[in-house]
Amino acid sequence: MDVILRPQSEVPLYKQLYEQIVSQIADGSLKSGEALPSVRSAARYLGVAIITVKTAYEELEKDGFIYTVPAKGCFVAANAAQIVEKTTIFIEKACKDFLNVCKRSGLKEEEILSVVKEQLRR
Amino acid sequence: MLKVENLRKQYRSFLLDGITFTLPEGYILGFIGQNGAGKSTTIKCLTGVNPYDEGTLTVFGKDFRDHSLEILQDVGFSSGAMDCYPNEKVEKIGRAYGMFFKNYDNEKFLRLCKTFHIDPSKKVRELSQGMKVKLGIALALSHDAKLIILDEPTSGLDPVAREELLDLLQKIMEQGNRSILFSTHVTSDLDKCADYILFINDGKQILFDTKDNIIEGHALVRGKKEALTGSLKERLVGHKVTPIGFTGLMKRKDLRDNDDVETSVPTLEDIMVYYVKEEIVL
Repeated sequence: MDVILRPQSEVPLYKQLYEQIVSQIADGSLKSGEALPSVRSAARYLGVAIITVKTAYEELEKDGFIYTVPAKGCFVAANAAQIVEKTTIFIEKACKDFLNVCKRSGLKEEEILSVVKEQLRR
Repeated sequence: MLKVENLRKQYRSFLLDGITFTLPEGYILGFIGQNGAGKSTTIKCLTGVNPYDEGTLTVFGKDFRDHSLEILQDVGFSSGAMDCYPNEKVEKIGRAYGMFFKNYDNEKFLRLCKTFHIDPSKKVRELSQGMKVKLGIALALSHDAKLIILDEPTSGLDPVAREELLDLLQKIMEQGNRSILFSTHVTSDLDKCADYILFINDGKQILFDTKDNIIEGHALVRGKKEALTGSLKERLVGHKVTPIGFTGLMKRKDLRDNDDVETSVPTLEDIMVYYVKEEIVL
């Protein structure tokens, strides 16, 4: 598991961790059945609070990407890759980035929609 | 693990009041505030050094007033530099300290000395200030304490030793059943490792929450001087104005879409500074 967190980013740290783990499941570098580092070790390696890692793992578990075996740790779920295919977080993220660019360029809602429609027609 | 409700302590001219927080098992609490805010007073109440006047203090599920001796067996406490018995050797200090704790482990103490590069055959007075701080911490960690309370553990330490200490604290946490409370006025110590933050000022509690909630709940805002209108100013926790604009701190829930400001993520230092100083005019 390779993770780089950016404390200056407005995206909360737990969310950054969540997204990076999901994207590693998506690109196959984290395989189903693979163990994640324990909450406390991960916190130490990443230099973040234990609670931050715990929140990220809990969200991942809630969404079905990982499962917990008591006293053993957290593992990537067998069907994690299928869940990734259905998840919209990457689309949401790309969409947010896109909208930020639009906002900075001063586009109004109708103009943004027409840009999207035009791209869809191509 | 540690539950404090409405702790109150009156000194002649200083009143500590309404301190309320909980520290669950397995987490680190960073305790911040200016010099003289009441951090050490609070810690002295938590460790039985000074009695508290009012409030409830529950440690390991037991009331501190009735079970303090039993509780303190499992509390590791260090406050600044270890300055007692300057003419005794470090190894002897360890054994003397160990007589008071049933779980004292001399080998562990010597191992910690080695980690901190303290020569056990040296006398206390031969140690540098930083070494004395580390000696105090080594003692506090030598008897398998479940709750570790450190008052300003990083003061007097150089950046490398500081980093080593913070890493050691996180390593201790990997065992999972311990909790650490440490006070500091150097907030960058807490950026990495603290789970909870307790922030007091002038004897009053300002904030207590998880560090992530506190940081995500606030925004550092910057803008042009003209943007600093009455309605915006009222919503700022604190701000400072310079000839080329203003910077301030705001609760994220108070931000409005039409505020003409740039926002960014504050550090604990920003939060502390703006809560303590209401208006800084340069």
